Amino acid sequence: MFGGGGHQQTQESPAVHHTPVRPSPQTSANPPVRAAPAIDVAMADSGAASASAERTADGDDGSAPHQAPQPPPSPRFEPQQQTPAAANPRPGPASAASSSAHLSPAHSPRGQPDPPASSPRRIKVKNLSHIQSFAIDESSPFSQSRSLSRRHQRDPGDVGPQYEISEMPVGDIIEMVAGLLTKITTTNDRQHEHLHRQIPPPEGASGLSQQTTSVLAFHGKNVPSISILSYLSRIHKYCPTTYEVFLSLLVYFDRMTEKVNAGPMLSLRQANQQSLERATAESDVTSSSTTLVDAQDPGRPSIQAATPPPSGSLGKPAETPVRQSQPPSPPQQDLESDPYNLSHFFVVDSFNIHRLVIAGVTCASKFFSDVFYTNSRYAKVGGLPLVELNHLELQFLLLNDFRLAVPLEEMEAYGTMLVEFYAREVAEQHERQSARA
Amino acid sequence: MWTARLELPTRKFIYGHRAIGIPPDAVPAHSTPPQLRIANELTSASAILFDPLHTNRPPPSKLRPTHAGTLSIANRTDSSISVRNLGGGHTAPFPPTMDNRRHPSSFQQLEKLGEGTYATVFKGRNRQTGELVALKEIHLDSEEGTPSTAIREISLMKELKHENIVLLHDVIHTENKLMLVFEYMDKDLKKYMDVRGDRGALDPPTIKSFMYHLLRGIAFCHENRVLHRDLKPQNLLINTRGVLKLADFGLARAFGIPVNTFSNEVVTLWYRAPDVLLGSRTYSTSIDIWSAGCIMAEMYTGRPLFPGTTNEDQLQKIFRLMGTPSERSWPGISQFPEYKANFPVYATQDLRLILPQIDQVGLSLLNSMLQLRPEMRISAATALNHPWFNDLPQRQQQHAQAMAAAQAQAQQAQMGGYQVPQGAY
Repeated sequence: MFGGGGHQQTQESPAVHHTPVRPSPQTSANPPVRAAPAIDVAMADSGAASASAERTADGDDGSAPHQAPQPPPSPRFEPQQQTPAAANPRPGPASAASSSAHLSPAHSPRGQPDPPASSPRRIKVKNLSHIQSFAIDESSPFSQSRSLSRRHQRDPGDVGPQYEISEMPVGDIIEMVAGLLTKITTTNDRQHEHLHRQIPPPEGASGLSQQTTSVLAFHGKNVPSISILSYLSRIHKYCPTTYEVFLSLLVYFDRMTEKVNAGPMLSLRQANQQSLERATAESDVTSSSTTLVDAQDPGRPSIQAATPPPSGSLGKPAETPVRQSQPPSPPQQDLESDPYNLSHFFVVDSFNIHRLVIAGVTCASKFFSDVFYTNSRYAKVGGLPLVELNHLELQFLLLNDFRLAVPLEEMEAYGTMLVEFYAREVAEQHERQSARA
Repeated sequence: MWTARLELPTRKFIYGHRAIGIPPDAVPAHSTPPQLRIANELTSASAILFDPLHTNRPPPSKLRPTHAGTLSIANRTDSSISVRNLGGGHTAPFPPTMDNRRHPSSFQQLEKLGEGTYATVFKGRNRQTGELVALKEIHLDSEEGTPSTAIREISLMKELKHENIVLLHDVIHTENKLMLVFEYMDKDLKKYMDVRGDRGALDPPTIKSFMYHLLRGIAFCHENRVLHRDLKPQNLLINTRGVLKLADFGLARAFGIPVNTFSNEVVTLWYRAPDVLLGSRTYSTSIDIWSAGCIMAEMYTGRPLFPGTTNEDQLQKIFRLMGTPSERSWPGISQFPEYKANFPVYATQDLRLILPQIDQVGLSLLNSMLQLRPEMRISAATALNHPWFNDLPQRQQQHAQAMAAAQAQAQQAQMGGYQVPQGAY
């Protein structure tokens, strides 16, 4: 169990699933349900490294192990003293000097239509050093648009090139995903104290909605000591899979955030708005309060008033009207109806990221890949009891409304922006270093 | 379908300050309650990745609402399942109060319809509407967790709504069971042929109608980047109005993401395409078309076209009829993992010899579906426009409607000098 110390010592034989093939009820001549028998191999403790989990479909990268090794015993998650790991996406500028890697515009693979972006540029990313090289190359499209952004001269119609990451080694994609997740958890950890002050005791959980129960299932008492990068790498080592599985985690976490938080966030803004209006009515309008309320027209219908007063008057008006036709999750009843109670928010932080990752990989592998493993193997690799993983898997599916399909365009957009994020981190680190020198 | 982006991005507002890069202290602290300030400090992947400070790329749009709801079981007896709606307001277009009215609170469980490896199917009745449903109960195994077949079937069918695809009404969950509520269908095509056919063989008008429905369902899946991968008579269901629909998406998967290797252990052997039998892992939509061709022939004869017993036997049965391919007829064939230089050499047979009932036009369609080379196989969308379907009453009706609409518009344009806007209909 996370933070719980000792690992599971059950002698299960993790069967590797090949394909979700079922025998036809009619034909006795069909292939067996599973292409390979369950392999009985001793735990890694005994030194039996000869795990032969044959895979039917290998990741296309050379770095991915062609055979999934047996999982070692569950990692011990020593509780950390609530000190989440520092954000460090580990851009390695050392290899960045090799500018031999040049951008190679690639054609749309498999004849898929290009996305309706105004920019037709597609860049096939080879690996992390490829990104590092264009991040610090001032003539690259990335650096060009970055400097335009800074000078506020960016052409609003230009969304920049599309970065195609499907040929990168999966390990490199994991590193980018880990970098982003670490940044998210580090940022959100700062609010952890504030968010969970009002956390209800477990006995009082009966008054919680299904959704809040699902959210709380991922929240641990302690922060596991294994870093996000090590955890993802461990999963990929023992349960190798394709890159979409790791990329899709970002999509799922975002969807869960939206599903859970949109309603409460709206209530919070509404409550804030009401208290502001009261305050404005009471006192004469002072210059400091007008900055916040001057954008609000008192004659608006109430649904309009629900539009968040976006940070001062600096909101993004183009985006807000859509809310009207798309009501977010309704606010929950009882103790969750208090708009100022933040404990039911879904926040990706160091206390839940590991459980979110292992549950997400378990679900996404089953959806995306023809190769996946038993939950007992995922549990062992993830370092949590099987019953807990089974429970988390179901909660993950529920929080995603059982919808794991990701439109191709969305997947490509996340891939592109993940590359840009990583390149930004590299460029910033590079600038810091040159400033020091 | 779910590839379409119809809405403006809406996600960003949640993390106001983060997203637009305003430091929190730029907002007058005294006027914002601490909770809002805390919430505004939170971040997410999309807030960082699609930060407008760095990119013009819009954040991904919200998920489209889906037709299928998510319910949880409140109470269950042997013959009755009462459920409560989870009020998934994110996907449901209405708040849960309205949703509750839409959703029943209980199902009556009737007789068992079938039992598979991972699910048991019961007939059921919606107590509120009286509507018949099929309840597919999925056993959650402790070792495996939620079966991948269930995850795929639910995830894909929540996005696929089409007249020729069995409709998933709802997903009901408990801690150790999942139950899928489907529209009720009378029988599967296999049983239909046994009961209604002449020693299994169906009459030509029925075959044409079923093939049209089958290809419409396949075309819709392919348009939405879904491969079914297990088309066979048992997975095609017929309702009392004679409409055929695709069912059982447990082997289906999304495609289109480049560089993907697929398992070749898909599709029941008899309906498996030769390229898949040869070990291809880069197959695409054409594997469903091969299955459709096999099913078409089976409807004429009442017997499976290629009832192989093993992978090799299956290939041999195919070659015996369609001719053994060579590098000349199929460049690159020798590169397939299961290719053998010593395949017995057969000449191509005329399909009419084994399908004497088929007409010439139908035979040309069948031949274009049963092309050995996957890239030569007709697409579902093209097949739907095949002249064989011209005399289909359903097609004629649709055609007439389209013609009438075009005519009306042309008339309007002539009479009023009215400019028909581009893409108006």
